[in-house]
Formats: sequence, structure tokens, C-alpha cells
Amino acid sequence: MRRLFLAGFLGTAWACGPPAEAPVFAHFAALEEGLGAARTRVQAELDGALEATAPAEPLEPGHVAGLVHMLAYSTGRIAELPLEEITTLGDAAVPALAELATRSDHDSGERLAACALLARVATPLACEQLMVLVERAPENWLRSQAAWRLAETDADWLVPRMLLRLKYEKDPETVIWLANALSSLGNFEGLATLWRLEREAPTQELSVRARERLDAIAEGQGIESAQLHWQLWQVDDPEGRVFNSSPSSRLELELWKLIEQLSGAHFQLRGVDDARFQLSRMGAWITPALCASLHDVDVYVRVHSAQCLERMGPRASAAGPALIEALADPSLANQAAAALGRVGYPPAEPALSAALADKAAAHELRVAAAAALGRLGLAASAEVLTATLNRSAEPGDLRQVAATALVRLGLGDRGAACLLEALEDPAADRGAAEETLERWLNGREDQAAQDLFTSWLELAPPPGLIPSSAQDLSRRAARRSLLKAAWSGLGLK
Amino acid sequence: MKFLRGALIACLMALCGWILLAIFAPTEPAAAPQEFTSSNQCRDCHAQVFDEWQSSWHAQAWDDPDVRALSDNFSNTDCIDCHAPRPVFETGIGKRVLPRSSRRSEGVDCIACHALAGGGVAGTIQNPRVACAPVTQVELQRPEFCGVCHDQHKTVQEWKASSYPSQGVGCIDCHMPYRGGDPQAGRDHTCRGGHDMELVRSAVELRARREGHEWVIEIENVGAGHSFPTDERSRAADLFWRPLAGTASAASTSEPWRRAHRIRSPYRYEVGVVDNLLLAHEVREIRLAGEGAGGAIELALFYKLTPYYKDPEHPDPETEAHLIQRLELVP
Repeated sequence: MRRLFLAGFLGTAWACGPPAEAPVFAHFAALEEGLGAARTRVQAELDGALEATAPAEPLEPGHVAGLVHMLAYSTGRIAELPLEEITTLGDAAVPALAELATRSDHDSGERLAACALLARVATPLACEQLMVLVERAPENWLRSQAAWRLAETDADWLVPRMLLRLKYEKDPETVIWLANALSSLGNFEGLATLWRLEREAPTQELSVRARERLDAIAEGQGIESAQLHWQLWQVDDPEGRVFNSSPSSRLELELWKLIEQLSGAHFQLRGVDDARFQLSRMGAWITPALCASLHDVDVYVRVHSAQCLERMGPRASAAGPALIEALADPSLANQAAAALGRVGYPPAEPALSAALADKAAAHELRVAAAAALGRLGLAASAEVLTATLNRSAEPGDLRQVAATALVRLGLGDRGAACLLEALEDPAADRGAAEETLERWLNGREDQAAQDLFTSWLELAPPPGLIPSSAQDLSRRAARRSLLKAAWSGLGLK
Repeated sequence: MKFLRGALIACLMALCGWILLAIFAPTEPAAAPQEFTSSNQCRDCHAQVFDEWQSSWHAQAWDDPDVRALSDNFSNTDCIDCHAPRPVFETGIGKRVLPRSSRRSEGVDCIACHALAGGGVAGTIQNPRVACAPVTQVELQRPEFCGVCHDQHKTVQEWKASSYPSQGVGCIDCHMPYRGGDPQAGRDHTCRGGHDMELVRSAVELRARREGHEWVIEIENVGAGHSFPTDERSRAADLFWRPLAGTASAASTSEPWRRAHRIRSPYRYEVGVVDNLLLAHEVREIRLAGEGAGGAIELALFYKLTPYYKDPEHPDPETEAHLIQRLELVP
């Protein structure tokens, strides 16, 4: 009797028991903690340095100007004297040096000498002044000189600002020396700019100089070629061949300040744009901080951190496990899926396939998961992508993304019909369909496809011309007709 | 008999358990609000609004060839946030929007403005009996609502600095007026703006007078509730002049245009370009003198959707820009 009672009770209790728990993605004050810890480390270093430094004695008026003059107009041993003496003056000399360097009415030789002396002082204050010159000096020659001098310092905490300056700098000479300074500080993002300069320089001389700098930087790192150097920088460099020094405490603080700039406290997207740009180019070492930020209480920090990882691409591959966990956060899931695709983390395939197959999952997540599976390009995804494509009840945009992903997997024939229809469907992403069909045709090796590809390209707008919407529509219609006419010849039903 | 009694009690216990379960177990969640995955779902019931939206620049925010070119086919992913945004109500009024992953080709779609966080639809009229059961949200009419994207370039701040807020004039009064001026007809969802030259022309007034040997020209922002131009650094307005054709001062009938003034906000990389947008209500004075300006002249204000001319040294505004105002000045 008691047993029956117990059985009934347990049966009831089982029926009432809580359902299996869904994975929980914890949110905490990751930004506050990271920023606070970084600030504490920098403060401790500052306190230590303060104790070790004797208070500076006031300088006599004209002292620094005299050293600058001596450096500018002396040679040999005499020219070395101001370089030696300035280090004993330290920060006390910096305001006068900065003032001399920026005076537009001053002798240019002395302004260059002031830059050299700032680099020799090399304290954070002196490096800051050099950076200000790179950012604000109106004269191209002065910006390039200051950039060149930054390579003589170990001010890695200026790397984010140098990256931003490199983005907007128009003077080729300054670009070369900024890329050089970044490299000397363990960041090789400037190599891309040097490649571009080599290709597009307005003069042959500049092109050659960009190439020389690329080779010199690679040689300095002991890498066989500039091309290999760039490849190693873009991926995670498993063998550690690209020099990537451990960041200074100041650089870590700058990193957390940039993550702070991603937060919802800042409305203007311009600041967020800049932070995302800088963070995604700082190197693989920032991956753990961005992974921690995926858990922040602020949704903007979470989403934008995932975007930074996405933009870092393969060099953020260490973020793979954290991004898989982030798929459980509804506010972050689609962005995490997109990042997993770009980062190229194959172990994410089952989780992404499951998200795509789950019809109860958010539409945003399913679309992002399908796109990410395409980027991963693994054969294991073919089945779920094909099933999604073939289920007519699925939303059109999801089917189109599945078709696109199949093209990336090398199974474009399966998705071609869907993309063909999308080419003229006002509800579809016609531009994306056109782009994907072009890639698919280009990837096919049979003669029929190659002939079709030639005809397809003949319909492209002339280089440099922005077509109108009407021209876009008529070109797509013509390409669709072209494809339809050749359909059976391509072996398609 | 003992066995039957035991079985009966067991059944009773199970029944009690079932009743307890029915009473105390968590109730089935209410039917989830309909998930809107495409603006096309709105078309059947809101055909007029849908057609207006589809012809709007909001709908073309992703596909427009100029946008594709300027964003390098959106490889500049910073642009996606506002060109394919997640619902404004999801992130909140006054906060930045976040980018979405799906159906980006719909651009700034119905869902971006009307989907509520967690499901449901925001509207101006509450109506639980219709399919989407809209809930009244007055926020839809606030400039801060538009500001989640359009204040990225400080348009709402420009509006706030003007007299229009105190007059009760907001974004939708000009950009989403009542159809035919009739409140019962609802608001126009074409969202006319900087591409609508009729609206652009109503924003500024061009005047001129003669003072001694100079022409004194005034450009006044009479109609824009914000700066002219606004929102996009790619917009520009140029004041050009040339000796009036057929007069003694004109060397030929097709004198090239000469630029007298440019109104623009610079891109970040542009050094030396002054941010001089014409603020709401501002009157700007430009003085014109010197060779060719002593006699009769033709004066024109052109508006440009992209800032640069193909040949900066010899700009051709008549083919590359839109004529906004034109005056013939005879001393």
C-alpha cells in the first residue's frame, strides 16, 4: 500500500518536475571588471615609476631650444651631445620640444630635430606628443617624420591610434612610416596598406619604396617573404612566427577603453565604427578580452564584441568555444553564428546545423547559421542546407541563404534554381543572388558554363560606372534569360 | 479484494496527482505573438502603405546602387546597422539600432519600425480584432524614434536647436504628412526626403541685391527643420554663377559655371574642409565681385547627392547635380 502511494506520488512529482534546463549564457559586468583591472595595473606601474624617479628640476629658459639647435646644425660627436642630454631632462623637456615641433613659423630643420629629441626622451608624455603630431600636424613632412620617429619608441599603447590614423592618412610618405612604426610595435596591419600603395601609388618611386618597406619588415621578422608574413598575420600563426610581443599594461588599458567605446553609453555610431575598426586589427592577443565581453551586461558590448571577432576572421579562432556558448544568448545568437562562420571554426558545425534545423529557433539565428555553414564549407552541412532549401514552407530569404551556402560548399547545382528565381524576385535579395550565381558559374569547369560565364560578364556594367536601379533590373533580367536558355546544357533540370 | 482495494487507491492517488498537476503546474504559455519575418507579410492588409514603402528610399536602403558603391557592397559593415536594422523597439528609443542578419534586401522595412520587442506590432491605433493586433505607441511619432538612425549625423540635434520643437513641428510633419492633408487618410509612408527635389527646393530661398560693385547674395534655410543639407556627409549644395548669356558681360552663350560657395560637412579623412551646413533658420551672406561679376549674372544653387564632381577643376553642375534655385541678376 505504502509502495503504491509512493509510486503515485513519485509519478506526480515526475510529471510536475521542471523541464530540462536550457543552456544559460551568463551576463556580468565584464567591461567594468576588465577596465578596472587594467586601470589598476597601469596605476601600479605609474606609482612604481614615480618612486624611482627623482623630481625634475626646473629648466632654464632656452635650454631645450639650444639642444634642438645644436642637433639641427651640428654633425658628428657634437650632434650626439643633445641626444644624450635630453634623456637626463626627461618629461621636463617635452612641452618645449612639442612647442618647437609644431611652430609653423619655425625653422624646419629645428622642427625635425625636436621630433628626434622627443623620440629620444621616449617617455609616455613624449610619445604622446609624437602621436599628436602624426594626427594633427598640417604639414605632410612633419607627420611622416613623427611617424618614422615612433618606430624608435616602445609605445605600443599608441597602436590603436596609429591604426586609426592609417585608415584616414592620405599622404603616402606618412602611410609608409606609420606602417613601419606599427610593425616595430608588433602590429602588422600596415602591411595591407603597403600592398595597396605598391599597387596604386601615384608614382613608380613610391611603389618601389612601399615594396622595399614590405620586404624590410618581413626580413626584420625573419620571415622569408612579405607575402608569407601577411598570411601569418592574418591567421592565428600557430607556430608563433610573427613577432607579437606581450602587450604593455597601457596597451591593455587602451584595449578595454576601446571595448568601453562599444557600449550603449555612446550614441554616435562614428565612435563605435572607429572602435570596431581598431579592435579588429589589433591582433590575436585581444581575443580573450573580446570573449569575456561577450558576457557583458550591456547588449551593445556583447553584440559589437562578436562583430569584432567576426571581422578578425581566422586570427580569432581561439574564440570558437566562447562563440558556440553565445549561441544560447538570444540577443547575441545571430551575431555569434556569423562570427563562427568568419572565424572558420569547424567544431561549430553541429551547433550551427542544429540551429538551422530547429524551426522553432529565431529566424535571424537560422539565417545567420545557414550563412555561417556556407562559410565553414564543410561537407557535413550539405544535408541540412539542402533540406532547408527544398522545404517550400521555409521563408524565401532563408532558402536563398541556404542556396548560397551550397554554392560555397561546391554544391551550387542544388541551389542554382532557387538563385535563378531570386534574380528577378522583388522579395528576394537580387544583388546577392546575382553575385552568387556569378561565383557558381565561375567555379564550374565545364565548357558550357565557361561559355555562359563569358556571356554573363559581357553584361556587366563598365568599370567605375555606378548603374542605376533600372539598369540593375534590366541586366539581371538579361542574365536570367541567358541562364534559362542554357539551363539544360548545364545539366540542370 | 485487498489487491483491488490497493489498485483503487493507486488509481485515486494518480487521479489526485493529475488534478494537482492541472492546478499547480505552470500554465501553457499564451500563444506566442505572430513572428514577422518579412515586410511582405504586411502587404495583404496594408496594400497602400506597403506600396508607398516599397517606392521609398527606406525600402531601397540595401539595394540602391549608390549605397552599394559607397559602402563597397557593404564590405564596410558599419553601414549595415542603419541600412538593415533590427527593430527600433528591440533596442529602444534614443539608442542605436543593431544590424540584422536576415532579409537585408528589405532595407529599412516595416518590421524595423513596427515590431515590438518580444512580439506584437506597434501602430497609431490599437485594434485587437485585426490580424496583427497593433498596440498604440506614441513613440512612433517622436523625432527620437527617427533619430536612432538619422541622428547618427546629428539631424535630430539640429532640429532640437531650431524653433520647430517649440512650434510642435516634428519629423513626420514634413516627411510623413497626412495623405492629401487628411488625418483620416493616414500618413504617407514614402518618407520623402533628400531625394525629393520638390521638398529640397522648399527648404531654401535664394536672394540677391546690389551693393556698390558687389552682388550680395543670401541663402536662407526657410523650410528644413534641420541643417541644409543634413544627415549625410555625401550631400552637398553649391552656389554657382556665370555672366548672363546674351549680355555684354558674357563672353559666349555657354560660359562655364564658377563656384561662389559650397555647403558641406566633411568626411573624417578630409582635411581642411570646413563643416558649414546651413543651420535651420540661418541666413548666409555671400559677396560676389571681381571679373565678370560686375554686370548681369546668372546665379544658381545646385544640390548634390554625392559630394564630388567628375572634374573638380571644371565642375558641370547641370549634368551632375540638381538645380534648386536660379536667379538672373541685372544691375
